[in-house]
Amino acid sequence: MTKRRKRFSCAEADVELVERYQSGDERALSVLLEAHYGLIKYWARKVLAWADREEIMAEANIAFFESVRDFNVSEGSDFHSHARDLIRRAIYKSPEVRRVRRNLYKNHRRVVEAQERLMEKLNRRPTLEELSEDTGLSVNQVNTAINVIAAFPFPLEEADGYLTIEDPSVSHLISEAVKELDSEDSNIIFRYYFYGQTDREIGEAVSKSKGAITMARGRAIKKLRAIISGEGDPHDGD
Amino acid sequence: MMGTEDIEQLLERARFKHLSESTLVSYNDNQLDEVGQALADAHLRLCLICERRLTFLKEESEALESYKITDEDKASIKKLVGQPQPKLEEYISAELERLNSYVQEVLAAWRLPYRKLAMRGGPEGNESWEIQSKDKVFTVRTVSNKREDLTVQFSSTELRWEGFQIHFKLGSFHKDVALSRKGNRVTAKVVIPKQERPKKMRDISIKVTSDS
Repeated sequence: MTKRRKRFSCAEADVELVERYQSGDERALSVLLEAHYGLIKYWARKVLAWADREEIMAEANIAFFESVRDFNVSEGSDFHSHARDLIRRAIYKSPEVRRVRRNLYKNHRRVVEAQERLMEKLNRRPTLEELSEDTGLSVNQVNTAINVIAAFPFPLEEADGYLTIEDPSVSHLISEAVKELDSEDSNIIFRYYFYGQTDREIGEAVSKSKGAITMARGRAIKKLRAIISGEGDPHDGD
Repeated sequence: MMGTEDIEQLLERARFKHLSESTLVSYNDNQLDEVGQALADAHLRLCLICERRLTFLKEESEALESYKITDEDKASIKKLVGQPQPKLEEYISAELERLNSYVQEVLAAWRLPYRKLAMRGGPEGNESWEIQSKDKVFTVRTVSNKREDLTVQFSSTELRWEGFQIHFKLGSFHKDVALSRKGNRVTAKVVIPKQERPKKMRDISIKVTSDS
């Protein structure tokens, strides 16, 4: 549970207040607003360089009202995340931001494409300078593009093939399967596939030969294959 | 059964996939399991965009932690809660106007000599026709099945329109449907049975209203 939730509100209290408001208790809205007013202000601040504060706060406040009005308490989801999502979307779509959006997003495709290329090539996070060199944009332009994408990622997420977001079902499948491995095997999987280390580098880290790591990795993949197919660990019962 | 290459490919690509909002929130709240944490770490080591998204979530948490409500904020809240309805109504009216402008765009396209069919023998039926607004916010698609019933599907990325009513009329056929949320879109569907399909497909009207 985050500090925010300890101090200001918690998921259960949020839901209770939303239910009260949806049942006609206007005071519950005041309490919810006080608990989340910092959230509204935080995201509104992201665009104040280009937009009028009052206009943006009005859009964000309306989005918050909507989030309270429309939140489905029976779904068991997190109200704070729901409110954040609607507030950010409202800010992004506000007339104030719409005016400058074309300019804001002008360089984004180049920055996104460069970052996709460089992260695979370098096997690390590219720096702003490297992105700047790759795109031909200034460091400041790259930084602004990254800030806007990070604050309002949904237009890019929702445009086909622009940003490839993880598939939660695949992440869950990998997670559940790798959890079944023993710590030595999962360590090799983490290092090789998640951190991009070579078999030699892993061998050096765990004091084994490159060949031993290659074989162990092959066995671990075989186990994962068996786990995913429902056959269980092929070495169980040996 | 999944082959060895499949799991290897999934593992090889996993760290290059951007993190979903819910994964980032769970990561920030230390709610991921060991493998999920390792996978998120692996991606964050590579990706400036997701690293910045995480930074913003952390900043948000910190901002809320240190946030002290001011008298000015209290006054704003009091004003807002005291008068929520007029603002909400103004907002709903503006959103209806927006939705209506998309609908007019669709109607204009529809009323051109009912268009040459974009596709025949598609996976969902015999014929289909689709129009999408230039900004991809609003889409209308028609599909005719083998019985020649015509389905008109409305779809939008604008979640604010959830609950808005569409009053659809084609010839003598009419139907009211509400936009409801499906994933990241709001959608509504009207099915016109073959016997009620008019000869003049241009005799169409679509009106939108709010549910409140």
